[in-house]
Amino acid sequence: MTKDEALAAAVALLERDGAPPLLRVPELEMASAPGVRVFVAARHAPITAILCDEGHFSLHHYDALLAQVAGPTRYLVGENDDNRKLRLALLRAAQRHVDSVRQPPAAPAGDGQPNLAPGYRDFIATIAREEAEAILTILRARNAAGVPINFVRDYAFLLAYRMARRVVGVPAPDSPRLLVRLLILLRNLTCPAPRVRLQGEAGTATTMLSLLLPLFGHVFGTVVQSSAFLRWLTTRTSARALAAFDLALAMPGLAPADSLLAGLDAVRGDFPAVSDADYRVQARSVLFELAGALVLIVGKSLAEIAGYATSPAGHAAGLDWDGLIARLAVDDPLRHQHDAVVNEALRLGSTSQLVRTVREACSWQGVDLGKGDRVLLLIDKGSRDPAAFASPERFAPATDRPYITSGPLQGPHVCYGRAIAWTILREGLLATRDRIVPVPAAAMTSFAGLPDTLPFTAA
Amino acid sequence: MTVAQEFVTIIIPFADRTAWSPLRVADVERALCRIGNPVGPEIAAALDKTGIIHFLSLNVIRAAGEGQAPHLLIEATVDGPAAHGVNAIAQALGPALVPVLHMVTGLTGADDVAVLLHRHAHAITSGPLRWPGQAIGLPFCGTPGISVEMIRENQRVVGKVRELVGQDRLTHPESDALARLHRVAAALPAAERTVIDKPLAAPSFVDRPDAPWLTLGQSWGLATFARIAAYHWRLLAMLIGVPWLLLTLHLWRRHIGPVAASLTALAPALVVAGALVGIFAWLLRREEQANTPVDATPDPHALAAMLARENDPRHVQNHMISVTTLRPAAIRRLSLSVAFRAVATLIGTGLMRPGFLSTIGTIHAARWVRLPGTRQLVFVSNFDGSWESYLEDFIKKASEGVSAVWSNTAGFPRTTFLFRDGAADGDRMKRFARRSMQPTAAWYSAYPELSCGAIRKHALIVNGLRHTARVEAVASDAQAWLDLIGTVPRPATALQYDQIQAIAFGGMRRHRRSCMIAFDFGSAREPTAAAPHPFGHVQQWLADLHQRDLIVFGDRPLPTLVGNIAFSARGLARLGLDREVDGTAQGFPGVFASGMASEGRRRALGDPHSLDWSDAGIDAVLLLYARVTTDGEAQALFATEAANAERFGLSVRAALKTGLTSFDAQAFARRWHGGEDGAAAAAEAEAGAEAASDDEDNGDGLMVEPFGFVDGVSQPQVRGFPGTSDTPDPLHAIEPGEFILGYADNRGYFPPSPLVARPLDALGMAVQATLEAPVAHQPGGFPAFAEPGGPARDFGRNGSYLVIRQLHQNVAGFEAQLTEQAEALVAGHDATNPHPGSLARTREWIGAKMVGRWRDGSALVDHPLQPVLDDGQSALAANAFALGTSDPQGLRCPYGAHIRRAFPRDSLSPGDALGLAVTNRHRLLRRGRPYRDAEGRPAGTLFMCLNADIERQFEFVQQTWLAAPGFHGLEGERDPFALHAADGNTAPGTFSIPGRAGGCVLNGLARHVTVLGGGYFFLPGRAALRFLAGKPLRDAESAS
Repeated sequence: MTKDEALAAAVALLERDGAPPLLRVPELEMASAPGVRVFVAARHAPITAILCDEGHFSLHHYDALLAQVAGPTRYLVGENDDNRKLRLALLRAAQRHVDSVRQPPAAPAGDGQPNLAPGYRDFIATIAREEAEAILTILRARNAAGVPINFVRDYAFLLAYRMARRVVGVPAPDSPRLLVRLLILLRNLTCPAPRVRLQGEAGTATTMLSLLLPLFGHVFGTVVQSSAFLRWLTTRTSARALAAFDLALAMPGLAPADSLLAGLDAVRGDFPAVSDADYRVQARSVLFELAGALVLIVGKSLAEIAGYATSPAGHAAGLDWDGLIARLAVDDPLRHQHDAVVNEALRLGSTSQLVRTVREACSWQGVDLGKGDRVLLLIDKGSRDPAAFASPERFAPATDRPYITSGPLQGPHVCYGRAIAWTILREGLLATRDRIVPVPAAAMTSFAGLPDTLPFTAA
Repeated sequence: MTVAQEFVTIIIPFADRTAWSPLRVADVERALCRIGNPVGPEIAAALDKTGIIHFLSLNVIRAAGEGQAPHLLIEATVDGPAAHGVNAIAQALGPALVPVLHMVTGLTGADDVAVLLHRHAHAITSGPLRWPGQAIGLPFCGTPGISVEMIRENQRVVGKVRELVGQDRLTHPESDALARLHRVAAALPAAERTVIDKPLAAPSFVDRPDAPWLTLGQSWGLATFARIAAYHWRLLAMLIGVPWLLLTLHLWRRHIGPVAASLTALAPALVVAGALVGIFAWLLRREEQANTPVDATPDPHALAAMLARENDPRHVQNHMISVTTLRPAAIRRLSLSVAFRAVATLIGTGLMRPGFLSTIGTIHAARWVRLPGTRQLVFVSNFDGSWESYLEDFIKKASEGVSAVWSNTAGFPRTTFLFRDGAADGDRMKRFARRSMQPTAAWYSAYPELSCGAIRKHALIVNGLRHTARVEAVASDAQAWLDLIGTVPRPATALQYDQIQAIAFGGMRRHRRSCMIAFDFGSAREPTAAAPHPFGHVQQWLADLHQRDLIVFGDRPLPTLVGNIAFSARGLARLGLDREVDGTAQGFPGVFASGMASEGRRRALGDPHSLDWSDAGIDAVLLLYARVTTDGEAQALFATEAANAERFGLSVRAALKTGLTSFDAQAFARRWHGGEDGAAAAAEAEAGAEAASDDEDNGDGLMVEPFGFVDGVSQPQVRGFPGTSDTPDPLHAIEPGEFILGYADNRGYFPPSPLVARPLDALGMAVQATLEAPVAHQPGGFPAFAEPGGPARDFGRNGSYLVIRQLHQNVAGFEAQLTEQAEALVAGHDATNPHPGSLARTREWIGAKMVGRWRDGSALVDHPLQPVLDDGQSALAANAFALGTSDPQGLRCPYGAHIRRAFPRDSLSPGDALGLAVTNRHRLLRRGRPYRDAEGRPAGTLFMCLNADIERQFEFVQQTWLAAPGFHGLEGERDPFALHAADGNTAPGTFSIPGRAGGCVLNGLARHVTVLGGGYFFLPGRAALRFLAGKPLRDAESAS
């Protein structure tokens, strides 16, 4: 039995009535890590409970995987230690600086997190519209000249990179190295047209994406341990990507004044107790994570939503492209409805998984867990749990519809970039209205676990 | 020594030439916007610190198409070599430029900025051929030779000068410009003095007598073409010389001698050169016809983005950048160069005032430049005021130049032969310009609060201080310098109101009671050290008049008692101008010197042999006007002045009581409607005229001359006189130089003015310090304070020649003659008479025919059968009528009518504008009044008129029009109304009244006007009067 077959069988068992919340899947365990058992959760309730239960389930897994390939770099998706708390403080201080620089519009600041403030989201939306408009103008001109539009590469990932470039403030290396060229060569040899070229800003976006992709697979695709090749590849590409961040941090003047990088540089004096070296490491970690999330996750999500909305599955769920755009176009100053649409589209159209590590041996909801055991949370399965979602296969956006895709919105592991991402997704999709549309029977293809092509044309 | 401004033009192509480059372009634009438009305070301080950068802008020029690179354009105007400017920019902007250059080229180090900028810096050339590193284009500098340092120093000095002038105005409120300049210059603090003491040359834009730009507007003469040919000798040599050389060689090889070959080849070479030009023109025209103008509205969003960056409240300047695409035809490469060369020629040959494009003086720095390797033509400009006013300037003043350049680009309004049409279609040109524009991303001005005009003005003020000794020597220059402080130097066309006697500007109709007193200066006195002038007593009298402000000039409200004064030739000679009156090359004209009573003038005017008084025995006339309630008060004032003059030793030789009489419209209406009782009504009206004259409320009403006709309806509308600011009607609009010396006349020339070119210090008269410079040396809008002036001074400036004639009018005789002629017409049932049944109306009709107007002033041309019957306001409002085109046969207004003779309008050449211009060469500015007899009754008219040339104006009108028997084809007729009866010419006259049935002729007409006295006088300006008052006035002013 393959791992996939074992996983499918486990999911089937977990979805039965009266099934335990967790089920061990030995096929996912590795001989190189004896004693580490792997459990799977596929129902909405246990997944949500595990994500919120940091007393029993740690995020050490991500710290360890990053340590293997990226030295001291850490994500906010990790243990809530002092360094993580520092990184979060840096991020908030930087955003305060950005808020002061960007001359926020009259929108209310909100009572919650600064990154959730309507004013900040408006700021992000403005940038997203600018970038989307610029890209779409180019795409329409190219399309008029006979060049096809690949929504995934030419728009989704490019827009995501451009947003990362502006919001975070770190550009990708202008010249792709050999590994990136080989990866793209492989892609062009194995995937259908249009070819991907490493030229211009789209090429830069592809370079950044290519540099981050192995790390993404290594960190978020690994349950126990990744392969030696993936670790080698990730080490190389991460080093290259981190070098770009080192350069950017060394020359903060290159970053837009309203970027987080410029903010971090500006608020250095607010953290006198932190050594320069440590400040640099933590600042780089923050920027690296956010840039990666924007480039890869936002791009991937944008492509997946479009792919789903143009797919037969999407149509079966009651979603089509025009309907999606129309729902995002409604007047909604607080963005609750827009967010609900994005939530619902991602619930149905995206796939993701999360991993937690058991802190200490315990019995959790009747399941005996040992210290160091891994719990694999199948988010896309939980997102279709009939116990949590009425008509789970239907596209039915509602502000009270549950959502678990990237974790809770409260607590130490609140997703800092989610509001940014959701804003970009909405604006990115809406900007296409009357500009580009899917070609008839458009179907999305993938490469290396990521969306790769989705043909569009000028409206 | 001046500092040359050079243009830094750095054009850096983006590394990204892909279709995705707009994204990188947007990044760079955002980075540039962070630098700011205008730049932020830190960067502004860094740029200020360089001390050599006038303006700087940074912009991104988007790629013209896929595969082509966008460009970063950094343009600046700097003092000194452009290379130094590049270094200064790199030093000041380096850290701010690194992120920009990083995105453009990948540059990361601030140390590399200067190298990169130098590598991409281009010199601009307007020629079709250029060296590597040069870009084709055209730079234009609006403040040539004035460095940033000078601009700032000048601004500081002028600030101090303004402060000092303000203080001096408080301490010396009555001071003249000379003294004020002297005190201010002496009071300048050491810091400002240091600036003044710098040995700098005068600004290049100042007026110079030989400046070619001053004559360009008047004619494209041979000299101008020669200048252009000399400027382009290389081009001409190539165009003609190469064909000539080839043809010569060709003929030489055919065994024709070298001289013969070269001569023979000349004509064909010219033909070949002409053919080449013709081919160019043909190809250009064909290409122009292929052009499809794009007449689209600018994108409102783009427009909003531009407007958001224009009109910064802290700046008086704006910046614009336009990017257009050259049309693809090959001929456009050449025609673009031709356009650039054409404009460059006007600049290079000095045919435009330095710093001015045509007459546009609001451009600080501008340039056209074609981005190397592209077809993109960029225009950037730093200019004063709004974009709208800037473009309007181009449309109205330089549309040919704009068309020549921009018509080479796609979408420009249709142009003909490169220069014509195009930008003249202003609205479409502006739409084109806006469509081609983009918001200026980053912009710096070293002096945001200073316009070009202010910079030039500051430079002039400082230049004036730098040459204080020279400026102090000429009153007009000192005044021009002082004008720079609070306003602008007086243009040559602007009147010096404060220098011109008030009578020139109006008849003082509210000062109804008046008199003329004619004086004899008496005998000369023995000069003494204290009183060196033999007529020092007259100078003392003049000084007294001046000190008491009795002589009123045009710059203040009229006081209760107004005096104006004029001098005869004899009077001026007695006061020291004897050589000017009689003999010097540029003195007074002979007609003035000889006087009205001389035999020659008497014959020309047909005057009697003897007069009661004349300029032959009169030295000066004092004209007094009183605004008092009773006649007694007035006479008391007049008597006081006469006695005062006598106290100084002058004698009264003649005195005439004058005064205004109001037109009684009601009486005239009664007369018109009164049938056969009209004569009685007329008598009543005459009786009531004096009472009406006391009615102050009627002060603005029209006056009536003794025969009972409204007078003063038709006067020239002198440009610049108060009350003529409205658009003047083409019939009566007259240039001030027709009446006032020192100003241009109708033909654009300055009338000759008497000069004083010799010292008169021995008489205590300060020629140099008191009189103004002649017209040729008058400071213009851009005074050349450093230019040495000539020794001569203009005595006549702001003065005029005043003709006075005492015309006695026999009112009873005139009225009786009207009755007599009317009775004859009525009795004879003459068909010409429209009122055969009414003696009263026939009588008025005859009078109207003689005058050309009814008694109420209404013109026969418009009202041929009956008067309007109002107080004359209708006549005033309808005075722009033509005679020649409206009444070519004289059926309404007879050829011999007084108004047709006195001012024929277009009558002598109907429909011909030139004819009207000729007629207007003989206009008179009438200031006469009725005078009264001893009993106070109207006895006649004291005719007075101002003119710049007595022969051309007064005498011409009198002799050639009024008194000419053959005027307008008439035979043996003279003016039946106003012409006096001269000695030996008292025979009854005739007067033809044309009509459809042959008209009628009035025979046996006697004239009822007699000349009793008069003369030619000179009405001096204030400076001339002060000059005549000489030492006594200076002593009096010193004492006060």
